[in-house]
Parts: sequence; C-alpha cells; structure tokens
Amino acid sequence: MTGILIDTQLDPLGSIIAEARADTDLDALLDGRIRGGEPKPRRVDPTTLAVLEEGDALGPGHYKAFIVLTLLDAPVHPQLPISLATEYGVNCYGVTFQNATEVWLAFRRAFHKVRTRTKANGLGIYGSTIVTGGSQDRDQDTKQPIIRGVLRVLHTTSSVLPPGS
Amino acid sequence: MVDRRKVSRVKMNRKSIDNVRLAIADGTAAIGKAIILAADVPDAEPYGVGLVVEGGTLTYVGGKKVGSWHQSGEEPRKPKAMKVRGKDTIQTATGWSFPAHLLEFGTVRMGAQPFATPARNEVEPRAAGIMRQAAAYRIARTLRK
Repeated sequence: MTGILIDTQLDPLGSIIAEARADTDLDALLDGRIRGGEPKPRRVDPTTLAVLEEGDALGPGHYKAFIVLTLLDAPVHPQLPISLATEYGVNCYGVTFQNATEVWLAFRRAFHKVRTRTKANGLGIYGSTIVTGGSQDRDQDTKQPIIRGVLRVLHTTSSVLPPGS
Repeated sequence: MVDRRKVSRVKMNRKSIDNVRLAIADGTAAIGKAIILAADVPDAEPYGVGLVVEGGTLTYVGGKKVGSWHQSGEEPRKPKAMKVRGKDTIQTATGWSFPAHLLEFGTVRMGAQPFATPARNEVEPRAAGIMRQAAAYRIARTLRK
C-alpha cells in the first residue's frame, strides 16, 4: 500500500548533518562533530572502566567545538506531503565565546537562504533559513560557551524521486 | 497627476493614530497570551518541579510599556535581551522565565523538551483572528467615548 499519506515520513536531520559535514568552513572548525539530539557520549569499557573514546561535552580546559541539533517542532501540512516549518534548535558550542561565534556564523553561512536541493533518499528541501539566534550563554553543566539559534527547513515528507529511480 | 494649485496642509490626527497603534499592540499582546496559554510546559528535572510553569507577555509602543500580563498575576520583568527602541515601534515579548530556554534547547546532559515552538506553531494559523478580535475591542471602546 502506497500513497502520500501512508509512505514513511522523511526526516531531514540526517541530510542537514551530512550537509554541515560537507561544508569545508564548518568542518574545519568542527572536524565532523555535529550531532543530532545530544552530544556524542563518552565510551567506557564496562570491565576495566577505561575510557575508550571521550565524548563531545568535556569540562573546563578540555572544551571542544561541536554542534547539537535538537528538533523543536515539525508541523506537517494536513493535505500535502510537505512540512510547513520543521525547526531545529542549533546549539553551537565553542572553546571560547569567540570560537562559538565562529561556529555559529559558519553554520549560518552554510544554511541561511539555501535554496532547493534533492537528497539521495528522495527528500526534497525547498529551502533552509536561520530564523533567529546569536544569543550567547554558557552550558549549565560544563559552563562551556554556547550560541543558540533556530534553523527552519521547508521540505517534503515523502520522496520526490520517480519510482524505481 | 497631482493638482498643485490645491495644496492644503494635512493635519495629523495624532490621537487617532495612537489609538490605532494601541489597537495593534493589543492584538500582538493577545497573540502572546494565546501562545502562553497554548504551551504545555514540561515540569522537568534537573531544575526542580515548578520552576518553569508560568509565562507572561510585555508590550511596548514607541518605547513605552503599554501592557503586561503574567499567569501568576505578578508584573513580568523585561528580558535583558529585549531592546526597546524607536518611536514608531510596536514590540511584544512573550516567554517564560529561567530556565525555560534550557528546556527548549536542552543542555549537554539533558535532552531538549521543546514547548514554546510547538505552542507558537499552534497559535500561528489563528494569529490574524486573535489580533482582529483584540484590536476590534479597543477600536469599539474608543468609538464609544
């Protein structure tokens, strides 16, 4: 059974992360550390308790620049297979406030007013816009400098590729 | 073509303009109030129970505060980030106090629990109607005087 209201809804988060990692300016600052939902957690060996891989969120003196994208809302059109305004919270963490600002500005350059593109999974993005942001803050737990913003993505919720392609 | 012979001085009816601006301000304040009432605020850890429950709105016309409303009945304080400026501006701030932004966007240890954006998106389609109703009330009251 197929149809625009039955097909699996496409999520643009993976595509946004892939686009961000492909952006040379952003990747030079982040080295691929752009995450969806939460920072990369620390990996610990369960038997020896040795740290196998340190996560993104570290304490003072060990900060790393990274971005966490959180889904704020994803209202869909009641009749058409499109999202009206999927919005993501963009948390840009930096080593310093200046570094966090650089990360935020690089992210803004990469996504603000970027027009139509089609992804390999058939997701059609009509456009992405930074709607607000730039306010400085510190993370409540690690005290790491952070700049927050909101990214709005207008996209299809089903594939725009012809069947069989 | 403009008839240049009949030049008359235009007198601005400032009182009427002020009433129109106040009516628009009432409309924006009503939208803000609707967003606050539509929000389902998560009452979550780690900041304790009940810290982010009540929200409010503040409205400024031409840099002067013309209206405020808070669910607790208290007078809300202007957020530091809000810049009130300009003679011809109408500004309304709607929101919740600290740590609402941490719930909305999350922290490194706590996932985001957005409530403000969904509330805004819920009210957005009705915004014109809410504004019309609130503005009409102010205009009708002015005309009655």
